Amino acid sequence: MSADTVNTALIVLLGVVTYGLRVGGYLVLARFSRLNPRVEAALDAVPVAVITALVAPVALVTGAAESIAAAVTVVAALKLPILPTLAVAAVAVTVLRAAGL
Amino acid sequence: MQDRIASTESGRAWRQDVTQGLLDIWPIVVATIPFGMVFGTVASAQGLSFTDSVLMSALMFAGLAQFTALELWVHPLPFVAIVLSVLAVNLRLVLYGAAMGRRIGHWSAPARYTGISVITDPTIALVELRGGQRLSGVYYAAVALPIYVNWVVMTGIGYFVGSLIDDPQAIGLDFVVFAYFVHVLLAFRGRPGAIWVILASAAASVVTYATVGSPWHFASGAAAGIAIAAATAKPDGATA
Repeated sequence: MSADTVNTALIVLLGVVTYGLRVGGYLVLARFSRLNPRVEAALDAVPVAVITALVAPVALVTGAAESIAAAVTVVAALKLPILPTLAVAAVAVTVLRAAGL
Repeated sequence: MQDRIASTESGRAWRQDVTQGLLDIWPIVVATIPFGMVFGTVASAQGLSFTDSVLMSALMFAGLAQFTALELWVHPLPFVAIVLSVLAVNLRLVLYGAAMGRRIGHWSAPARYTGISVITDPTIALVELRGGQRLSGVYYAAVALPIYVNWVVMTGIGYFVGSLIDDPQAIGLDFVVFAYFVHVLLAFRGRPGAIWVILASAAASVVTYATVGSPWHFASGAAAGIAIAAATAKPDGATA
């Protein structure tokens, strides 16, 4: 199979999975009025846990330029709206990489 | 009999729902224009075809999960890791589907299954805000259609822009996705217990990344963070 065929197959699968979650909530979860608190806490934590797992290696073990730019990004994200944060991050990493870090 | 009210009356309610929906959604549509474009640009940088990029936005319509998938999109494709990551990031859609489902019992079945297929973060907030017990289908269409069409079209435009960029890494484009994730993550920092989830996930993912390698850092970090959250949950429903 060509790379494009594999890409398309995975994308369709991801679409099906995502639709399944949306409809699954409607068909299954709507029947329960209250969830177990541990299940609810685990569900609540999913986005934070997942995103952290994705960004932590980029910030800590990719390279000096990425680590410094990551620190700059965190400060920017705390002070600025999202779009300026993206611009600051791109500029910071570009400058630091150009500096040879 | 009730639904045979003079047609001028129902026409007025219809127009009111459309107006209210468009008023509620337009700031969100404007705010998501750059993200749709960034997604298209990153997808082109990752080597996806134009059709696949637009197809992904059209079929998934879930920005965070789409960016997560792209982050892991290297050949040979780690199918299991990508599917698991999308499942994890999109788990909240189960809750959205349930919350929306309680309000649309009066819709036809095709309308229910189509409407639920595009429920997402900003629209569930509006559904909760305006929906009441019986969500107006006209209002929902006025909210959901513009943001859906916008996301798909902006992906296409962003892809075109991305195809003009020779070396995405040279202008820090790879880091834009990282910054997007950091911003989203920091928005969650006020949640009780979030700091422990972040620390557990970061530690597990960095150690796994350095020892086993990608994409397993993703699964181990996510599992560690979720386990901490479940373990520290208070029985009364409040998270520790």
